[in-house]
Amino acid sequence: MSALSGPAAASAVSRDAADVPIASAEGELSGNARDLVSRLAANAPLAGAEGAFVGNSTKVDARDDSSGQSPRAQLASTAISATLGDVDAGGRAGVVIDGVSLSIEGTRILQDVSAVLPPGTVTGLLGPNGAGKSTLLRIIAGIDRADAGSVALDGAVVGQLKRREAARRIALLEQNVAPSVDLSVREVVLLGRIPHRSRLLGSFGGEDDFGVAIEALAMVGAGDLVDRRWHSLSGGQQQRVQIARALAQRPSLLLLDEPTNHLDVSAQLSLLHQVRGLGLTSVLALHDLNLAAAYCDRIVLLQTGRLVAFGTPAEVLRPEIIRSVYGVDCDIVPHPRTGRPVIVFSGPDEQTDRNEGAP
Amino acid sequence: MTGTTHTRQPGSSARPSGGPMTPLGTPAPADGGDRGRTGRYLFWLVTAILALIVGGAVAVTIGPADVSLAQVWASVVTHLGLPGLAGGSGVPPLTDAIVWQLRMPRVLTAAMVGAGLALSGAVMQSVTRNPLADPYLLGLSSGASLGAVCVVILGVGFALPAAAFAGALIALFATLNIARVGGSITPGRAVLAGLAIAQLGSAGTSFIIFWAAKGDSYREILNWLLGSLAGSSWSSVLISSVALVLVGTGILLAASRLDAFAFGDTNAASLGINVNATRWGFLVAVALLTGAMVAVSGAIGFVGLILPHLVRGLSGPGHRRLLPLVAVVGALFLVLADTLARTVFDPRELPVGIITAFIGVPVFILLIKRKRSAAWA
Repeated sequence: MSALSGPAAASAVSRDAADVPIASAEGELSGNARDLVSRLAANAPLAGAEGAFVGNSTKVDARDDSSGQSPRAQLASTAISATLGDVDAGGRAGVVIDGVSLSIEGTRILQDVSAVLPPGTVTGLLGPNGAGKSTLLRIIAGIDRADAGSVALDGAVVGQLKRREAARRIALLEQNVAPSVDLSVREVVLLGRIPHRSRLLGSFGGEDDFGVAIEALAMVGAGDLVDRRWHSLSGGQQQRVQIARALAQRPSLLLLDEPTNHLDVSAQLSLLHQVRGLGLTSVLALHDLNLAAAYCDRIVLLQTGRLVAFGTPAEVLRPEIIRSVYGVDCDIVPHPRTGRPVIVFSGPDEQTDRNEGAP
Repeated sequence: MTGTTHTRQPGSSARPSGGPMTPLGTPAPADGGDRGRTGRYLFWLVTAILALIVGGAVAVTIGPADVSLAQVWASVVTHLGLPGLAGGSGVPPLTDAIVWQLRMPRVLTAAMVGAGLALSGAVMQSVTRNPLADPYLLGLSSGASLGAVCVVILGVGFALPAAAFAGALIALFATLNIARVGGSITPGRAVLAGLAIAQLGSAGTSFIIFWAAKGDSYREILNWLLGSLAGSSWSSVLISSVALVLVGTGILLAASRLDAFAFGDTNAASLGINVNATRWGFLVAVALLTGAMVAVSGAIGFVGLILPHLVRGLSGPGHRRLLPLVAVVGALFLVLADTLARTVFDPRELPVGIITAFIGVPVFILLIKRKRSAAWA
């Protein structure tokens, strides 16, 4: 990543700053919240058994409707959003998701989801199909409105931002999109400059935009693709170009909806490696638990619209939680090289009667 | 999605030796730089404008009465108040009348209508992400015809372009509503719904003309349903050029917002576009443009369908470049088509829509066959 410059370099610095526990704000906070805030800010690894964390406190009754309010209560989110503003050296507060709920035509899509994502961290958004991952991303991006609750980015409520303003701060990549016409890579990446252009004459000019586009392509190692046509790219290259488009928006928050879909394993790994290297606050909806365990600082686990667990991979990705959410048996072993958790699944043959519905 | 070539980290990208990356025979762009592309684009734009001027001038000389280019020039500059440029030789009054009262308005109207329809098609294809979108196929043109006929035949107290605009807008709204299932519109459904609305509009138009039948109704029906520039006058030029300049300028200023739709609605929204307001803004603009053009020429098909596809090959799909070029090429196309229409069976005239259909339908079939990037069904 020698080509790193500009915003990514800046956020890489502030990310380092976030690793240092912050003293100033802590004094005013009461026990639980202070604990949470300082740990969130310091990126400190948590021992799996500690009790204060949402993941641990809710996992026990993950399917118990009566305790649906607990994540929010545990988070004490208002206190956190007020104090997290001091957390980051760049004055950024990261993403504060506060009690987000959404129903569409009577169907509950999301219910009371809360989480705090510190600046510069990579968060994996996990959950079975229909858990509400894409919807949550759309709400974080400000494209869909929540019925209740709110999302704040660096202290600004996303739902209250104008669309253009939101687009300058947040970039969302949908899964599996293709252009209706055969654009060149250059044209795709330049789309990311649209929110930065002036409204009236914005269709013309913008000479420096091309420089930004080239820089964004270099950041994802795709500088040599600039003159290719979209349809001549491989799946991994298309994803890279899409991310470059998102980077051309110069966002402070990057949202990716299943970016590894349909990629071969090498493309998956290098893509996620590259996303981590950007140093941007990122939220990735993922299906592969092991990819999430390997590349994410934090995991948000959803099931039918509810927050089941939120914490570090080691806290969230535990056999009993995975069993209750996905209905599969697994063991967790440490990665031989990185020490990060690796989930080893057991097929139906190796399972006992734990899996409901299986013979 | 071609091939599995996959770029790794920069620096470690081991590429097959020898030559640029051209997986599966995709031709590498002949020239990389933005400057080269701009130069090529400007070449095509200037060429198209020159071709339009020359083609228009030649079209004025063609017809039953012999008129020379010099006479056209003399007549035009005289009417523009610059007789000094006429070169001395006076133009006979009859020739002057043919040039200035008959052929000039007709050629100019053809140019305006062609430009307007081509622009409409390009914009519709983008905001609906439908490569088959076109004012004619989606029923706007026949809706506009119906509106116009209501004014012309029934004498409804309404300005002709306004009635055509209303007809186009109602047809557009109806088509999109019929095509919508669960919030999304597929290209195929949109075309089917457009077919139904177009048939209804055509039937309504024919019905009204028959109902008020006086004299040669068939001719009139054909002119409205297939399009004809035979009745062009200076007021046709005025209506079509005012609509083209006003709506065309607005569309051009917002061109980059059209680019944002390339990857779909969510993507456009994430680029800061207010998707619904923007889409409807563009669609209403298209209905206005189509309405004005149909009011002066009837429903001419396929201009809006084929030209954007053709021109994208020259300009690329970016709308800042596509829209000006497609307007000029559209103008040129319809001027030529109309010249053909009034000469092949001289002295009889063919409705110009027959010519555009002969050219457009094969292209339409090609588009259906080539389903590379579009989500059909």
